[in-house]
Amino acid sequence: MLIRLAAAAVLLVLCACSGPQAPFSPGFTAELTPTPPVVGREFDVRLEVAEASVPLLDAAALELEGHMTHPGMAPEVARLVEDAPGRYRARIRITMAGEWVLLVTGRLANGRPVREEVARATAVAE
Amino acid sequence: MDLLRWPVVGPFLRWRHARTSLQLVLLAAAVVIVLHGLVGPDLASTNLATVLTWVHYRGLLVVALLAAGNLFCLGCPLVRVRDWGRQLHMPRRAWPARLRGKWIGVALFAAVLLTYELFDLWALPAATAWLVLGYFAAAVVVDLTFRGASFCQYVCPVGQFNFVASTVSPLELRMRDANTCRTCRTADCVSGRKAPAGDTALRPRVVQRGCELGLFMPAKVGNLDCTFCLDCVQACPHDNIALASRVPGAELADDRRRSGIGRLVDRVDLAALVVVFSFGALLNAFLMVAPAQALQGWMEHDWGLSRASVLALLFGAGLVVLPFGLLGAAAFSTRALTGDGAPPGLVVRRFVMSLVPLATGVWAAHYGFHLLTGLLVVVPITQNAVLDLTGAPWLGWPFWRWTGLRPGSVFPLQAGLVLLGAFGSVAVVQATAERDYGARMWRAAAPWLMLTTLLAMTALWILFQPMQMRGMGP
Repeated sequence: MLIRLAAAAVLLVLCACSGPQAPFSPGFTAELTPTPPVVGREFDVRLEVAEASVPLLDAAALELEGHMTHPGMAPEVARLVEDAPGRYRARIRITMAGEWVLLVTGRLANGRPVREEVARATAVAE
Repeated sequence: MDLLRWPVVGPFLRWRHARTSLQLVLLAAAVVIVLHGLVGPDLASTNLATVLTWVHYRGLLVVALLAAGNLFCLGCPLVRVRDWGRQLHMPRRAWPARLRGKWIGVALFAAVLLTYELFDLWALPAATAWLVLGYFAAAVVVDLTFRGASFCQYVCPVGQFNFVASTVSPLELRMRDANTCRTCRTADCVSGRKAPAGDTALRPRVVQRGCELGLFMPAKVGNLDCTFCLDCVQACPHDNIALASRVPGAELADDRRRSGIGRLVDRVDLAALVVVFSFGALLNAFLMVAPAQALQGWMEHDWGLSRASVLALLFGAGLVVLPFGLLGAAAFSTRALTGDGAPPGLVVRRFVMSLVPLATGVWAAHYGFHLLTGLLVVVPITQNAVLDLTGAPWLGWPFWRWTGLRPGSVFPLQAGLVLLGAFGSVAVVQATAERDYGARMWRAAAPWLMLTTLLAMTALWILFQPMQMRGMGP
């Protein structure tokens, strides 16, 4: 009986939730300096976004997340700075050698989530 | 000290549904792992499947083994699902006699370590989810075909890991009073408690099963093959079973005949299991550091080998050639120093159990590192999962800063675990040598003490190396 009640509760919660909005991918191209990134140092990420997406984005609502592919490791998060319309930069500190995945995340003005993988890089020890 | 007589803990453990409640908690975690692994983000560090499986489950499992005992076998959700299945179909066949032993478990244990590296499983949420589903399917198929706990005893690689590591746990299930067991005529601890006579016509119905792994309490020694399921506690009509404290690792030098196992020195398969457990600990940790990455890269480029071939070579060297050489050399040295005419294989089986404390220290140092440095990441990932599922931050925006200890700060604890394990191994070597060689004990022990020192120094060297998180995932 308990299991049936729990299953019904889960079903109710799932039914009550509105469907999530699919994340928006603005179409970034990224340039990393230096390549490969070096542990213990910051590296620059310069981003350029597809022209059609420029009016939709607000740099203040965007972040660059650096995640290791190995679970359990601390991500690095940096704010994007707008150099010119459609051009952004951020600096990420690399804390460990290995594989890093860089994501741009945030929100559009209408609340739709932004999430796009912009680069992968293998960081090396100094 | 008997935990079954403690307030709160004791009544809970003796509660008829204690195991089921623990199993349901872990089953819920397994459901989350599978669902998020299949429909969640591809990036392993943001998916609950990879984080809960490869960071929290492994780490907490080792912590539980060192702090108490085989708690994750106690709460194993596979057994819960299997028991539901057995309400529909009760198997009658016995596990084939020629497959009894640990060889299948040893092979699967080594295979899990190899496939983990080969396919970068830690970086693959969907593959992790399918692995968990496959694990459930295998357990159900085996245990709906064969009676008893065949999957736990002969197949499950995690179970074999737990059995070996639980030899250094501080708790064990054992009889309280030998005289009570001596006068017992029903042996309910192993055969199960039957319904009162007259309840059924011909064959009395079992109302509480006994030990499914065939451990008869009066002849049970230590934790090997004990899943901590507490069935014996529930079945014993004399309330004569304790969950008692003990000296961790002392059973490794205990050569008495054990119920369901026999004598340790007669079990080649158990020796092989300990070898894979011990050298696998070093290999698994070694493959995470920068020199291992450099070695693999060099073998791939200079020898023109594929990654699979390189890993096959490293695993062959690490789990077969190196142990064979080192253990063989130690055994021949003991024979030469003591004039012992025993076959080298027997000498190896006498001393190989001494590797377990050190190896458990290495596993704890490795998995403890991931657990402590990533303990809190489950919070932002759960927040992110809710955000993805509902489109609204019901649990708040992900706290990506919540992770755990800084990697460098964990090193003293890791080194301490390895050294503590090494001291335990030294104590087991000394006790084994005293047991089997009497006055020649130090001559017999010397090669094994050197081997322990060599392996402990290797483990510390690995911990000193820069970590390199490898694998690009999908």
